[in-house]
Parts: sequence; C-alpha cells; structure tokens
Amino acid sequence: MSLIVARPEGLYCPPGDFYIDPWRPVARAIITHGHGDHSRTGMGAYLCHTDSVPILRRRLGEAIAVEGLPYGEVVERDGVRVSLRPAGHILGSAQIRVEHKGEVWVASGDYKIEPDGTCAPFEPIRCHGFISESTFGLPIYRWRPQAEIAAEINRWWRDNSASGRTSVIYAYSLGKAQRVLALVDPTIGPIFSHGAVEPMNAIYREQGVTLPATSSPAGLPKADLARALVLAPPSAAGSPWLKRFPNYADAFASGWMQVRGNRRRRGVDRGFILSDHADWSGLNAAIDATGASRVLVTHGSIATLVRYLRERGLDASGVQAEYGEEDLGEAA
Amino acid sequence: MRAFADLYRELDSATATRHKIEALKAYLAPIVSDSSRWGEAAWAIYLLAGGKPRQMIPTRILRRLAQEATGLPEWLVEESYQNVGDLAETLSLLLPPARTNDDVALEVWMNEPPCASSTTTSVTRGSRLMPTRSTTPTGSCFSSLPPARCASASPRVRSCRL
Repeated sequence: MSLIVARPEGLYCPPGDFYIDPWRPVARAIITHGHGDHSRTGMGAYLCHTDSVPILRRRLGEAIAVEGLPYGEVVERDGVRVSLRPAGHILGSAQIRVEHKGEVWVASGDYKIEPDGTCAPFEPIRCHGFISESTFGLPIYRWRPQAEIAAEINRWWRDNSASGRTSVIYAYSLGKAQRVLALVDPTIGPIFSHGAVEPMNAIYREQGVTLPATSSPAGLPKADLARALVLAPPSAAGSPWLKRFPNYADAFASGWMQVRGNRRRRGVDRGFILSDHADWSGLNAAIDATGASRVLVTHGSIATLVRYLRERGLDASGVQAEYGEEDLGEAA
Repeated sequence: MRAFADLYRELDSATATRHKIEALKAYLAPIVSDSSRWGEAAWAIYLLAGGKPRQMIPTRILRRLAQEATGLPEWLVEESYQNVGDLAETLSLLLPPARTNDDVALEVWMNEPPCASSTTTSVTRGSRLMPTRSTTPTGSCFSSLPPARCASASPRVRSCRL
C-alpha cells in the first residue's frame, strides 16, 4: 500500500493517521501553504510551516489549533517521520516529506522552481513517491526569466505615470501581490494596496521579507493617484472600488496570460506572465529530481502530465483533489 | 520584421483605439521618412488590413517541424493546440526561444518564401524562414513543398481593399 492515498476527505497517510491539505473536515491536517484551496476551515488541528501560521490564523480565524514547524525539523509519531521543505510557491509554502519504514513520500502542494526573493526557494527531495500539481502541465507554458517580466511591468508603469494614468495590477492577494511588489521599481511612484492585499503585505514584512512601502489609496491627493501603482485582487476588476481612480490602465499578473485568448477574455489592457507555479519544464525537472518511481498528479492538466510521465516509464496516476481554486475569482 | 512584430504585440494588447493609433504612428514615422523602407510599410498595412498571403507552408509540415524542433510527441502538440485554439500561436509557444537576433525586413520575409523552386538556390532561399529557431529544418520537409505554393515576389498590396 502507498504511504499516501487519496480519500474522499483528502490525501491521507494511513500509518500516521493524518491528512495533507484535506478539503473536508478531519481531525489532523498538515498544510502545505495558506491558499484557500489548500488550507480550509474545520480541521481539528493544523500543522504547517512557521511562516504559514499567521496566514492561517488571519484567514481561518485566530481560534484555530495550529502548530508551526520550521523547514527541516522532524516530528515523529507512530513511527512516521514528517518534515517540511521549501516549495518556493509563496511565503511558508512547504513540501511535506513523510517517511515510514524506509519508504519516503513527498506531497509538494503547489510549487515553483525559480527563486523569487519573497519565500524560501524550492528544494528537490529524493523520494519513492511524489505528489505533484499540474496547474501549467502543458508545454505551451514556459516562463521567461522574471527579470524580463519586471522590466515590462516597470516600463508599463512608467509610461502610464507619464500620461497621468494610474496603473492597476490585479494579482492574487496572497503571494502574487507580494511578488509583484518585490519586482517593481518603487522610485517610479507611490504604491497602493487594496484592503485584501495590505494585511498579507504586513504578514510578509513581519516574517522578514523586504517589500517596498505601500499604503491605502484612501484620502490621498489626485496627483499621487495618477502616478501610482495599485495592487488589487482580481475580484476588484470592474468593481466600484476602482471608481476612485478617474483614469487608469489595468493589467493582470498570472501564468494564464501566456495564452492570447486568456488575455482577451480578461479584458484588461495588459497581461503579465507571472506565475507562482512551475511551468512545463519546471514540473518535469522537479519530478525527475526526486528520483521517484511513483508519481501522483493532482489539480491541473492531470491526464496530459500522467500520460507524458507514463510514456517516460514512470508509474504515474491522477488524483482528483479539490485544489486549483486558490480563491473564488482569483488566479494562479 | 522585429519592429512589425512589436507593433503587432502592441496593437494586440491595446484595448483603446487611441493607443492603437499611437502605436501605428510610432511604427510608421521612421519608415515613411525613408523611401527604401516603403515596401515594408506596404506589407505592414496589407497584413494589418486583413491581407493574407497564399499559404507558404502547409500546416501539416509546420506541425511536423514543431515536433522535430521540440522533441514532443505528436499527441502533446495536438493537445496544446486544442488548449490554445490557434495553430500559429501554439507553435510559437512550443518552439524554443530564438537563439539569434536576426532582424530581416518584413518585406524580405514576405518575398522569400521557402519553396522548392527550379533554381539551385532553393535551400538558401528557404533557409530564411527558420534561422531564428534553434533547429534547421530537414531538407525532406522543404523538398516536399509543391512549387505552386511559392508566393510571387511582388507584393499583393493591390489586391487588398484599403
């Protein structure tokens, strides 16, 4: 039997009697990261990386029973050793390494290969069984170096600023928004955050991540608004919240922006290809680096990645996990 | 060609007519003042006005070239196409990034189709189409092109309703 199996409640470790990122209430949950589809309400007890603790408390309530674990530290129970390693996805994101009687499995949650300075970079772990996401599991997804994307964003902001237009970037409030913040050149103008983004910025700063100064746009002079960069969650698009900016250009920051049809459907002025997930080659490189002979593929292009891995001789199969909707209306 | 590609990207990403007009003006200004580049402007206007040159390479061969260049199985190229919905875009996303920084004028691209012409320089002429990609297409792909596919060297601007 596998060390980790799929159950209706979530991914389950039978000898350790715990779930990983369960989507239904269970007694004990180990959480890979703070996005809503991986950390849900109603668990009896949560275990996650230390940096994820304030995120979980903020999103699931101060009253939850949550314990933080630093990367590399081992907890043992019933002969099962559990440790966390960086997944490079967002602050506190972790791959969960589970070891029992010499067999090692790793549940990676969501991950990204390219280091971005806002969270600990992804670390490959040798294992027998690897559980991988497949959000961007098609070879059309190949990310350009983020320095290039940063230059694009800064040029766009500078041009807008020169024409007296506010620059609004829609980015997921946890992770993506902070990533954009870390990439932009704060000398171009002031930076404002939407009320959903600012608390997450604060958590990042409290955990020691350096981000440029941000503030709320409320009550600021119009001249400042026109030069500003605004970070807002995708749900703010077309909402009354934007009425305070009389003249603005908007952009969406997401890996989905790689495909023209997605850019057009969003109806934004610009799409910046910036993802917190591994691209096609990243997924394959990560899977190869584990040396795992068994691979379970969750959320995304499951069938495609499974078939490709099988053709390469791996024992791969798909798991219907209820991940992939990081938050309603928000995006990868 | 790079200037035209940049213009196209700019037009494609703009949602306001004003931005599109600005982008067109910025593209055309340096070309209009240099008569040696008028052919380039003519082709640009022709293409933007919806002009479509005759198919130079059958899509069957484009797919095969993309497969050769990427080493991906056929089903995966097909699956990518189904996801993107446009073959040209799919192939541009699948192919590895260009390794050279060749900047040949749009006019030259349009007038030098890859074709197995009766002249002995067919490979030289044909090689224009793929130099920015990492692999050289195999001769077999190109020699299978019917000569009738060769586009005329004269721009077809007159056939376009401007």
